[in-house]
Amino acid sequence: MFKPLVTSDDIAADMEIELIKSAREDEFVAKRDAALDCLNKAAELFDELGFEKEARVITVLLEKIAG
Amino acid sequence: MFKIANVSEELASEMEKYQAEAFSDQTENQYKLAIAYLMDAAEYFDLAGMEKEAHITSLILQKFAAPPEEIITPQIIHDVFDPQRNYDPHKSGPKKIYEVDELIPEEKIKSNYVDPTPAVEPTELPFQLKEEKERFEKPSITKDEAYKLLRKHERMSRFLTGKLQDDARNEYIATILYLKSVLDGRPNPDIYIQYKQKHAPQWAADIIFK
Repeated sequence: MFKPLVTSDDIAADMEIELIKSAREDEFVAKRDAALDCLNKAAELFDELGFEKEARVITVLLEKIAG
Repeated sequence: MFKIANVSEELASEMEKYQAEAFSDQTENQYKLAIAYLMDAAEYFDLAGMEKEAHITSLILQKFAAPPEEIITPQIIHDVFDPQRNYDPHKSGPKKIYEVDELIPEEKIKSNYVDPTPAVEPTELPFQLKEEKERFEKPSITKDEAYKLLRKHERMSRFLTGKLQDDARNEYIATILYLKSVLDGRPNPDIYIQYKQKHAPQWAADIIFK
């Protein structure tokens, strides 16, 4: 009797894994981008207020993460 | 896992408070807002599982509360991200729930200069430059304003390297070149146009970011 190597259940399970993986990646990117956006806003504010050291430190951190 | 205060609720209540005070003390309010953004950043890094980034951000927050001379140095940030050092965020650093007011040293705010000039939007120059070239040959912007704008653009351009489409980054870089010419005392709008036409050559980026 013919026995398929890959069943529809296997395919469905693989697709589910891929979907979960993709969703997690999207979530990670969204969280990371939100964090970077917050850092940048903080740096802008410090800069405008004349807190140059603070702005510089955050800029270095942004560069490290971006690099 | 680093536990950081529930920033979104705290930020919302702080913002309401600030609005009620009608920005009577703009410097302090802005400083608090910046701190709140930093706390948000740490929270987001934590949620993203970026432990080193969450750790260094909370470390920065902690140091900001210290006297200015104890402020975190860029070297600490480099060390945290140096792969040879195998920095473990679990072994050291704060595991503390912060309140915004804990991080606002009063003497620090008082000692800082309050900028009376309004913030200039980074995107203003390029668009104006396209249509009002003559104006940019004799800019009304002061050197102080130009310097501040330059710093903003330099930071954004570094940050956005590889993250924005070339055209968007070119806008920043072109403006940087123009602002540098303003600061040199020879405003040159042409440098903006020439740079745009060359589609952000690497030589220009090398000059700006050396």
